[in-house]
Amino acid sequence: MNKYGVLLIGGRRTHQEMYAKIFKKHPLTSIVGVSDPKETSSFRKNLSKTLAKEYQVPYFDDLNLALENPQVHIISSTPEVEKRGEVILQCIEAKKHVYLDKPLCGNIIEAKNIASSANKSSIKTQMFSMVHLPWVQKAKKEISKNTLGKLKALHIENIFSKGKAGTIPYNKRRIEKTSVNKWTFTEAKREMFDIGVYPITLVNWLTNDIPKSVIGITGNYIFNEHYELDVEDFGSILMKFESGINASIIAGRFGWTSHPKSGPQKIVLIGENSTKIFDANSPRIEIYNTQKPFVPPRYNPLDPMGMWEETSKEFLVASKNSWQPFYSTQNIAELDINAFIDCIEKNITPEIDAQMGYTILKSILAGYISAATHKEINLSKI
Amino acid sequence: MTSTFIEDLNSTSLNSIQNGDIGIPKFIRYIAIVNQSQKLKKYEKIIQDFTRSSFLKNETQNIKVNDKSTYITKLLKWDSGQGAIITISIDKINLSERFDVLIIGSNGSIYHST
Repeated sequence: MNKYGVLLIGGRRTHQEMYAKIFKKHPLTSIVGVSDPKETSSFRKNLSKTLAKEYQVPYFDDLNLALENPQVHIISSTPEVEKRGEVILQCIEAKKHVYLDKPLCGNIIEAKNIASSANKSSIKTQMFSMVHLPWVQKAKKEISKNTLGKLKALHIENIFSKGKAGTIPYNKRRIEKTSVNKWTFTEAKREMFDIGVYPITLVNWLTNDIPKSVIGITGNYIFNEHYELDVEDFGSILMKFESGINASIIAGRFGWTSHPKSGPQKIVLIGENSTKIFDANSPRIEIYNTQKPFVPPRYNPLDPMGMWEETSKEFLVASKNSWQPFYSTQNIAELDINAFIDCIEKNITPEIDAQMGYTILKSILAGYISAATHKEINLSKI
Repeated sequence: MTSTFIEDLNSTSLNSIQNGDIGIPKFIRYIAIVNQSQKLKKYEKIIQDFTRSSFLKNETQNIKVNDKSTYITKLLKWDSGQGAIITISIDKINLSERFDVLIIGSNGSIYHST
């Protein structure tokens, strides 16, 4: 076994599909088992057992016993959002380093407890994010160099080009609610929560500032699946920070055929002297040739939004080849997990830890309240 | 009289929307980078009018944040669910005007990047 034993909580049809690959590959980590929180459905347990079988490691029915195992040093945590609050606390209390799927959890009290517990502990926590991607790092360096002048505002967007667009019934409008209790569904996700977490994380990380208030809107623009589940497929949040910086984010999902690659991913930095746009898809070359154009996969009733590639191989999504960005070859999970292991090795705090996860969640949940009430929401009241 | 680049951009985009190329327009993210601070307000009006033309009516909520002569950002909401984020910012170093536009519709999207 390598230096750090990794216990996976959660299995297939979660981000564990990609995290497990990296923990298996990393020279300092070995996967030692898979487990689930108590009261996990047999459907989910079977997905975890499938992952355990694939990695040829035991499945532990009792998470408490698995956490007592001295061979477990790191937890890769991807349980259902509704169970994260309790599970992450258990892991921290068991003195295990925790690699956290995003968002931290779905409840602000639970998030606060996680952050508080992690802050008192010597263990490391890191939430999955985009901060280690090269094009994102360039934006951070630009701020450090101060070439744009003092940062005044920024805009960040991340929209996933997956799912079959245009299925939303004509003129259907969903009314947002101030509180959300259910996050996990089969057919779709709350996209301002699940994708919005990426740009909101980047805004907080790039500004290194304290968010003061938010104004949010959610939309059901594209998919019938989201409408039927009463969840949004798109969200936008305007954030005001204590230093006077303002930021806007947009996030969501808009269909396989709505973008030539995986979707728009941009950071716009507005300094007092200049404005600069950073784009995951630029610089790039563009190729137009005799190959067949991209065709979306056939409808997968268990994954219509194309979220779980490894579990849905019979519904293979063809690659989009016309845009070839220069720097798209690096694996986001690999960069992120490598950074996490590095923090453990060097005993330094990860850039996006549980405390940051809590801060980010506040802005997202306040975004829902704002979208429902049409009011600006002061984050000190969340 | 010759038209300006932003007028041509908006008119071409509007034609595409009216042709039904992207289904029903739902959200507009419009970034204009200008070379004179006097253009901040001028372009704010032009872009705002463009969003109103795209969604065929006026917004019900219009939130503005700005920093004097540096930038204007607006979040607009329509009672029919549509939205827009508009940003007009100044570039005192590279004195060329640039535009980055994303218009999301129910069936597809329109992009422009100068």
